[in-house]
Amino acid sequence: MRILLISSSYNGLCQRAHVELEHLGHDISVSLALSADDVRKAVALFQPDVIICPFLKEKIPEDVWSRHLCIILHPGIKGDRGPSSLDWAILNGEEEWGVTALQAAEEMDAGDIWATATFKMRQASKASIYRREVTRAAIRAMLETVERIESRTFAPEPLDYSKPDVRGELRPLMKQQERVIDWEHDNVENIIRKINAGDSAPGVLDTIDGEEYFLYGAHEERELQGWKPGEIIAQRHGAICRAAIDGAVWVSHLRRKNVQKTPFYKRFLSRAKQLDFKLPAAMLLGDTLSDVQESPIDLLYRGTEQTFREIWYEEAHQVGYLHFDFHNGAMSTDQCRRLQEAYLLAVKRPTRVLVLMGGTDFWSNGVHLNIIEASDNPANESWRNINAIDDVVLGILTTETKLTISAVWGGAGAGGAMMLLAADKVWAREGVVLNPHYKTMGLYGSEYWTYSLPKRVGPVKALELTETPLPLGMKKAKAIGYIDEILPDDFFEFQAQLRQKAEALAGGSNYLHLLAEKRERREKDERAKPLAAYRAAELQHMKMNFAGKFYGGEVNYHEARYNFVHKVRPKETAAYLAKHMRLDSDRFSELRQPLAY
Amino acid sequence: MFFKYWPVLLVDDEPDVLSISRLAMKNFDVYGLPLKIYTAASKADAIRLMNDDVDVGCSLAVAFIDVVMETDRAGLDLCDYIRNDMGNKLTQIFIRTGQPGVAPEREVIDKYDINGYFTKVEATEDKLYSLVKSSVRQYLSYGTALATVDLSNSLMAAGGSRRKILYALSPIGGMGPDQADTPRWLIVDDQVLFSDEVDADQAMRRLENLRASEGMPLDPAGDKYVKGEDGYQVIHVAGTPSRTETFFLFKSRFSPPDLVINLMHSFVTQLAVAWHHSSEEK
Repeated sequence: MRILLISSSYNGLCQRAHVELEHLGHDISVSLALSADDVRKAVALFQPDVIICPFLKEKIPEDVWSRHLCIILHPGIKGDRGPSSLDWAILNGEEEWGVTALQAAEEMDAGDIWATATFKMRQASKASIYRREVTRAAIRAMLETVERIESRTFAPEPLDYSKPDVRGELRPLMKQQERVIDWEHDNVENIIRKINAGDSAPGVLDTIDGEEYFLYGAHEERELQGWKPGEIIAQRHGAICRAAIDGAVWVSHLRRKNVQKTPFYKRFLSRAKQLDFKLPAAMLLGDTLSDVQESPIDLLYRGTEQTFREIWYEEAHQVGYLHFDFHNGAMSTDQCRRLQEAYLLAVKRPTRVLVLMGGTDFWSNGVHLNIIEASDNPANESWRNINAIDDVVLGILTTETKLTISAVWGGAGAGGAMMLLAADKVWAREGVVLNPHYKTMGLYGSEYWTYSLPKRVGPVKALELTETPLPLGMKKAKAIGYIDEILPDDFFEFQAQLRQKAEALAGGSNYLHLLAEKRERREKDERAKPLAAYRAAELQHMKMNFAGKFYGGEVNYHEARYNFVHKVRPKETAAYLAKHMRLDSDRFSELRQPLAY
Repeated sequence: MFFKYWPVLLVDDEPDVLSISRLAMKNFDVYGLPLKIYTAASKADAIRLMNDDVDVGCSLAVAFIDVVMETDRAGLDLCDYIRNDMGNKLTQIFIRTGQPGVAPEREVIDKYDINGYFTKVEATEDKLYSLVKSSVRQYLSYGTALATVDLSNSLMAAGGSRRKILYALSPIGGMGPDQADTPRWLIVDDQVLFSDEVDADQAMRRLENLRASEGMPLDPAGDKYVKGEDGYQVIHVAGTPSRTETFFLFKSRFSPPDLVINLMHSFVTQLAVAWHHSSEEK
């Protein structure tokens, strides 16, 4: 079928939908819902058989949904309606939630139901549930819907609240008054639930030292305690720990409430930065925390008690598992350096295999653009950050004493998607979407990608992957050699299979042979071209990206970074996504009319 | 062309040598721009600085490096690191040693890709002055030549695709917060590339002021270089049947030497030809 994806942004779910539908052989084009006219134009040019909206905040124009079959993937159970579905589900402590594929209709979210899928709720942020459970359920519901549409025999179910399985209801937009934390009365569980319900957007508005901030990244703390609820009692790696009536809560990130709105161009060219985007809490609070002690944690933390930790380590049956769970997968200079040290410690452990686990939502997304943007000299911070991440990758590439595995549960993009290739083996979850390219950020890229990528997929595919910034699904990734194994989509099955396979590798009779082979290959590669030469060549390009001085510096990167950090919406859908824009006028006669349903 | 100062690195484990050199170089300028002096007390210190500071890592014009520091050959290893590990062939590196017996001049020059060798006794203020002046000139010319070759290669690789040409030009066009003091524009066939309306208007106004001036002729086809009084300069490649009229308009803190103007002219000419033979469809 010819399927048009209309989405508010090309987010993870939209990317996954794109990858899955394309894999099934459908002809896909993507249009961002930037305006009603954009949507109309995309529909007119592409003449889709069906429109699917994986993530839509805007209303579809009536003349579009009344003439074309439009399916909305709504993150709620049957009957749930409204713009804050997941927020309410988290705040109300729902045990089960779901995704419903609805036909667009006059009333928002009240159209006929094509499919639904449910999942067990987990204590996590809204963004994390969205990326894991919602995405999985949404893809299930979407594929079922597409199958039903193709069958042409399925009649969608009208929304009927009298049916017992229609448990949802219309809920309003969740406002700050519902989210607000009452530090004097809310216990740890409630505080975490409230922050989770608004994380990553809009955040919970709170006041710290007389200034208003949105709170993000809540983690329970079991040991530290304070006397005054709400008081900041410790800090660790940029996060702050606040006392509650029955314990304490870590808040990893804040966003200053932007009171003064300045026109875009003034802000872009202004030297006085307005840090109104999400940043590590301690970075925004600055001197406010001068009396607050840093609460240390082991570099290779092995504890199991609840606390704020970004890097931790487990070990079993000759296999080490190094977790690095950085917020949104972004790795700052400091985080890279800590990871590098932790990696070196993990390598020294008496294990045979080291598994790089990444984080719960993302394996890694490369350098930390928000921290770079917030720094006094972004070009300088970019340079420090890229060198720090390169050092981590170099450590992995040159590990001689054990086999390494990248176990990719969450997505990865840019430098993170290249970094995972440094391991000897790459095993990824079936539903992972990778974005192994830098072009959307105007960068050439480093992380030794010019060594690792062609080595795995060959020079032609390497060029294709980096030149056209499209997401890569795991079936294709496996087919082209980007990854070695696909692991199950279910978290527990993924974990079980990963551990079983890693242990089998560590205990296998050919382990020593594999290790020797790895060393020989590295030595041979080093003789052909040293790793330093790959890095030097990549960084030559990056110098131009960051701070070219002979013909001027690269503006694309600095502008793209600004837009990314400040969430500036693009003016149009990128040409590589909007296939409909490539249809020229002389092909109009070839366009078909939509199928009749 | 878009430097604010010339980054210079002094590496020596003797604090006195560092402070005296810093003092001696304090008032040096090249093309009217000051030096920005960085110091490191060891090879490790210098490497840390290179990975930590974008100026030292990416735009280092000159380095004066002592030989004997944490090891007998630490300075020589540092030269090797800069040239081979960092792939930096551009920085002008001078070995300045207090113990010439440990690393004799001929051996060092033969083995390491450096630009000069002298003993600490020879390092008078005048000597430093002439070395800094000549090496920054060399650095600017060589750097512009390499950047021109890179851009030319990208234009050729674009293979007549307008979209790819624009991508190849992205290191030049537009204006960002870090470059607001030294803006630059490419104007091809009366279009200001990479600009919004306000920015394009500003460029066209500046261009009008400059294009009427006679300037310095660059070739018989009518190409010329014009420098205005306010630091704005333009390289104009005239339109002919085989190339599109193209301007490179920029503001720089100094007047480029002739060689640099010629290199820039060569790039703008290649762009004018490539643009003429390109199309949107490819």
